Amino acid sequence: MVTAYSMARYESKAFPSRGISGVDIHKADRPVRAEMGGLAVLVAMAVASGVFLGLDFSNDGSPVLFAAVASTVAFTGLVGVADDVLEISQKVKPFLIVVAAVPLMVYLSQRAFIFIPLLGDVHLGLLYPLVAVPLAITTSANFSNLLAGFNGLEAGCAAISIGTMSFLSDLYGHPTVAVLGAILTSAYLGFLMLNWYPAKIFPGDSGTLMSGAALAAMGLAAGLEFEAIVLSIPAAMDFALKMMHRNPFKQRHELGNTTVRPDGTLDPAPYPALVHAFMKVSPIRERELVMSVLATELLFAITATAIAVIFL
Amino acid sequence: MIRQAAVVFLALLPLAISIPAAYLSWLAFPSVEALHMVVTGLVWVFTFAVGTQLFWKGVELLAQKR
Repeated sequence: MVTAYSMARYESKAFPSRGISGVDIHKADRPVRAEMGGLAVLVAMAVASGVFLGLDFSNDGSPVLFAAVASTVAFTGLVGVADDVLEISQKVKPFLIVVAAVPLMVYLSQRAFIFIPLLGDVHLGLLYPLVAVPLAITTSANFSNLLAGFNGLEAGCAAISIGTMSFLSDLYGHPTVAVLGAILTSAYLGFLMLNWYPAKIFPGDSGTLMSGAALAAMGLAAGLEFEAIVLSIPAAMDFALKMMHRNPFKQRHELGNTTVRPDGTLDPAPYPALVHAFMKVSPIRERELVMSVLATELLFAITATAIAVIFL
Repeated sequence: MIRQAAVVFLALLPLAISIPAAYLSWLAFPSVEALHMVVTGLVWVFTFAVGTQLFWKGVELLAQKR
């Protein structure tokens, strides 16, 4: 948490002058803020993971699992950093994330079953490491990249979902995965201190892609795939709502962004999206909107926990 | 505040619709396991999309009553 906060603090001061910045379009005065805050989370994860692996003397192969999950998360974070700097094409990005998933695909190459509550163990054979693992990582990473754009939203959702997955991993007997989850949750909370309204730094694609990849990678590593899906539902709903438009993913170019009224409340852009749902039903300010989305994520975290406890 | 809470709980709708639908399809079409999984997955995705549409209809109804 301390490393992520310190790094984010440095970035918030150094990055705008170097052009690594974006405009906070949901403020009346449209201030320029540092981008690529996910780099702070990535550095904090690398430092804490190095310390953990250096101090871990267990001989049960669990450090290999830790390294496989951490590598997948870190490589996805690096894809995000490259995207923040070079703006990688939307068509190329999913393939780069599939490449980032290779360490976990290799580690899970012997696994062939997925446990689904009520259905039991479902045999997927080679489809599990070759299709399910990369598909889960790239889908989750891209979903979390879509539900974004408001101060504290991405880091808050990441802290809730990864924190829940960390708790459930420990409950299901995967303490190494739980440790990585705790490291990431603390890193996102440290970053959130500067990303909360009014934000001094944005997570960028590095922060959002990494949180989705972390959730999926932890779910796969701990055999909690269904719970990871439940935790991804707010982001999946946002994706499904955006797909309802006749021209998916081009709505922002065609119809514009959410705007700020003189009284500080938000006026939603005229197309379906999860954040727009909250803006449509009553006048709402940015901070209240983020609290509502975080409450939704929390509701799904409670649901995922209840399912995991029932089927323990 | 109440309207915001209503949207939060309305967000459970896609999950509440898609899980029973996927479970029923699993029970209804026993076949080769991998194919079975694909059919169930497709049913889940389709009913999740329907649930999301219903969520949006609910949001529009709430917005009209403002």
